[in-house]
Amino acid sequence: MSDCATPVLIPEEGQHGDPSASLIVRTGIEWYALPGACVREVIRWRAPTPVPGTPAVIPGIINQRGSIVPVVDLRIALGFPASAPERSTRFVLLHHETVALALLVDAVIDLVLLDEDTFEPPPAGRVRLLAAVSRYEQRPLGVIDPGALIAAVQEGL
Amino acid sequence: MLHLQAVGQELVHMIGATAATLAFEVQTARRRYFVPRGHVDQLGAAPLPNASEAHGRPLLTRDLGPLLDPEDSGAPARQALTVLLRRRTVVLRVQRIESLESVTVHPLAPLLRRRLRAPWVLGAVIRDDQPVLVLDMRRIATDLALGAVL
Repeated sequence: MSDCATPVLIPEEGQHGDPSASLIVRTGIEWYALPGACVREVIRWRAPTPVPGTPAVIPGIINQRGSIVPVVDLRIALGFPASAPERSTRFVLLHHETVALALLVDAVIDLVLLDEDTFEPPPAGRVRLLAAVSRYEQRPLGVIDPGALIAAVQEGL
Repeated sequence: MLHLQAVGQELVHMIGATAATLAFEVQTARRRYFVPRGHVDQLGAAPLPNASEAHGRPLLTRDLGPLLDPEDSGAPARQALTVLLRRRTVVLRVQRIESLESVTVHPLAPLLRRRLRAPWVLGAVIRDDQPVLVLDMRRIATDLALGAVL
């Protein structure tokens, strides 16, 4: 499912996770899974520097240890309206192939091992960014396809 | 006004994916930007509203802050950066010109560059742990002169 190279997972608290794990994040009231192999880091929100002429899905850029990384708002990518940052708002630093981005999410929930046998194809309307759907703690869970997300942002989401 | 065209060659050298260049740090009402020195022909106090070019044509004058960010307005623009194009003189007003320094410019990620409505940003400089945009002032001035900006 994932083309993420060099799987390393360094969540906010500093523990190193299993690259086969998934990072569960919240956007609005919905929960999504990000492939752990693509996740480099979880960092607290700070105001990104806006870049004139960019769409709302890219609210700006941040500096992460000397690298300038574009921010992608997962809310907007999924078709929800933008919202003001809260205490729980985080950037999830994703690397996929040659692309690095800071994914803006409303909260990071957990780092878990998902049973891929429970994955089902995504519903027709949401198929664009999702690799699969599943359940986690009795909630529906969308499994994000990072390649599809990046392609959608590049193509004019 | 200080005329900058004769102040020597701009120092630009590519080091991997980054470039060092001499740039002015300018302050708008809410933001700061860097502008490559080689993009600016004159700098000084903001001109009067009815100022004109040498041959009588009105100066094309805009506030830089709201041009880049509609929410970036409010403070009076006291200073100006002037770009001399072949047919027009474009004046971009800022609140303050802070400094002229050598900065290392980080290019924007292709993901971002591809989505720019207009190529007005050359890259970013890291200042106080924050990215600060480096503007392509000649491109901005050209777009203004062409009427490509409302």
